[in-house]
Amino acid sequence: MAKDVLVVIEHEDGAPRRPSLEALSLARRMAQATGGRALAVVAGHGTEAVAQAVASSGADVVHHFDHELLAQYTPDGYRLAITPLIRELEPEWVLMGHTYLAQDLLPLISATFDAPVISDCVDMEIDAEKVVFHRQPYDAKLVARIFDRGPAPHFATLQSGAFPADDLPQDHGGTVDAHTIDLSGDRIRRRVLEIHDAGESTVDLSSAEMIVAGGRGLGSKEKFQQLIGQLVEALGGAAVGASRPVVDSEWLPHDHQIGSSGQIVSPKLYIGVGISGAIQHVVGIRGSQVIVAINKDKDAPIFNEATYGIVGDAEELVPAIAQAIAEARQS
Amino acid sequence: MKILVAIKQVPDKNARLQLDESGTRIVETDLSWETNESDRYAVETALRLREAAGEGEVVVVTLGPERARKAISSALAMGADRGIHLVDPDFQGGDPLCVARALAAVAQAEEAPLVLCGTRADDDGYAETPILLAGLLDRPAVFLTMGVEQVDGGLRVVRELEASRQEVSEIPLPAVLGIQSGIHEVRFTSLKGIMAAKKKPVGQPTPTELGLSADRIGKAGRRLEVLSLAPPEKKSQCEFIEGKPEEIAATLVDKLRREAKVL
Ligand SMILES: Cc1cc2nc3c(=O)[nH]c(=O)nc-3n(C[C@@H](O)[C@H](O)[C@H](O)COP(=O)(O)OP(=O)(O)OC[C@H]3O[C@@H](n4cnc5c(N)ncnc54)[C@H](O)[C@@H]3O)c2cc1C
Ligand SMILES: Cc1cc2nc3c(=O)[nH]c(=O)nc-3n(C[C@H](O)[C@H](O)[C@H](O)COP(=O)(O)OP(=O)(O)OC[C@H]3O[C@@H](n4cnc5c(N)ncnc54)[C@H](O)[C@@H]3O)c2cc1C
Repeated sequence: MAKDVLVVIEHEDGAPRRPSLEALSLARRMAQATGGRALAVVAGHGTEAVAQAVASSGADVVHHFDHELLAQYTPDGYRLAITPLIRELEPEWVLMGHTYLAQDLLPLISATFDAPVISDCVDMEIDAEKVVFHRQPYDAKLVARIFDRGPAPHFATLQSGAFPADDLPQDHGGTVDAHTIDLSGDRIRRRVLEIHDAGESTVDLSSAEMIVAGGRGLGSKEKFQQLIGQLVEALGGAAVGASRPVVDSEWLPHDHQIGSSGQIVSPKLYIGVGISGAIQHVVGIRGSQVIVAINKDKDAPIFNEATYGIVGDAEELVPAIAQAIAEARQS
Repeated sequence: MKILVAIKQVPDKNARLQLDESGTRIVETDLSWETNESDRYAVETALRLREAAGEGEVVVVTLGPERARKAISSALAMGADRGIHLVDPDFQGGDPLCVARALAAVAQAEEAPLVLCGTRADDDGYAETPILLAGLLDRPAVFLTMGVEQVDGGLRVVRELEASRQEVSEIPLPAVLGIQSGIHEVRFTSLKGIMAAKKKPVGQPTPTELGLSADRIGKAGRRLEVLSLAPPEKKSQCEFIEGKPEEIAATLVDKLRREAKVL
């Protein structure tokens, strides 16, 4: 039995999304190692072009479900298309990017197969006997090597950016297999009423040249204002950013949040104080030219991203740093 | 309406983690523990739904060893009515599916139309238990819930999407929701709440009482094996600056000017 790898494709504006292409790239690697095929499934409406694009980008067979009730993603719509397909194809692995949609959908499908999902993987080892995925529990402070000892199909999701998609071909010539699906509205339990922006944003951090961002490690709203304020003043004005817990605790309005559910920034200088460096924050700051991290824990993942790292208590360090910056700017 | 809330006790965010001899788990002794962040928001959401309806019961459930009892106590002190502690050794050491099976059995035994979970345990971080649970129960679910209210025939739910967007939808009951951190402000516990919590019942059903066979849960039931657990290899290019605060400040400013040229 060949060990096929099936990728569930997400798409947007008529094209496959980046995390799906990253999963496709890994699927090709895994299939190559075991002599199987890289397969893909596209569910949507009027999405023939998406399916074609995936076939050109390296999938050997793309299974395409086109139905008006699939035009809008719902877990039931996708599940009703994909679960029977998995039964039919019997792939060894089912892969997705670790996106919002994957987290909303994939465990629903895997549970039907009595399988958990190895989620948010950052690396993979493969040999003749087994596939081992690496994930990063404890907010990336540790790496766990995970093996699924259950029967196929196995399920995994991949952290965004961990598996580059640069090696995908452009003219692969995979085939598109169009499926018909019998769907009726009453089987779709989530009725989507609307999709909108989360709220008015009055703060645009995306074009800021200098950003001082604070995290939960600052301890309180007062300390946040005091210490971040000192740095902002010393720099002669910089934008203020924050990690999610800071805005969740209402130390600052939501539109100061940086990260996967906030803003993506690319300043010349980003200073992060009391921020651990969780992946959801870090994806928002990778475009920064220089990253300065101040954290009392030398093992905090933020230091993996930082240009300059300072280990210590923000309360002792920030006043000294602010003063030195202010003096330097005056001289 | 009866609302079941699944909460997990996790190590304190600032805890120093040490690996045990097997090299596959952390040492649990000498750690301080807290209720997982998004689970506190789930408890808050359940209390608000109960308050809005003017009736109902909020039952919190945790799977974990003796220490996890404290997570139940804190939820009871916030205002939950009753606790269930899956403390039997057979429940422990499972993978997310084993945890979901145990929670599904509780949801069925309790006949709770609504199950609330957090979205992600800040320690193991699989972010999948709630949706596995929904799959096992064959219920509709929403992950990363940023708003919920009861409406005719079910719930109106706001789901967080990428790029600061949100999806508003309606789902019928019974249902499962994964509550995202930040949905509402979480209330402080009052002294009165803490006193009242002491009188609230906490059940400890065994796997057998829940109709679960031991090979479907805990260590015996897990598919996912942790082969090793270790600190990440440092691939960091980071240049650490050391010294007294004034020295650090002077060196940093110098580097920002001369090397990085950003000042
Ligand atoms: C001694 C020990 C050994 C372990 N060995 C393994 C192993 O070999 N393989 C493995 O995969 N995992 C192992 N685990 C971790 C495992 O039990 C995870 O906790 C479980 O897989 C759930 O995943 P998660 O914690 O990442 O939850 P997530 O899926 O991130 O949790 C999301 C939500 O589900 C609910 N939830 C999750 N866990 C609980 C709980 N315990 N009680 C109540 N609600 C909960 C909460 O609402 C939470 O917010 C071990 C844990 C211990 C203590
Ligand atoms: C779906 C989803 C989306 C998310 N989106 C985002 C997002 O867009 N943006 C975001 O930021 N997060 C997001 N998160 C949350 C993210 O996973 C982390 O929980 C969060 O980034 C942690 O914030 P923090 O670093 O401020 O807090 P913590 O993780 O609590 O870290 C605090 C840090 O401060 C340090 N510290 C403590 N005291 C001091 C001191 N005195 N001096 C110096 N350092 C100190 C500690 O060592 C620690 O590293 C999201 C999570 C999920 C599940």
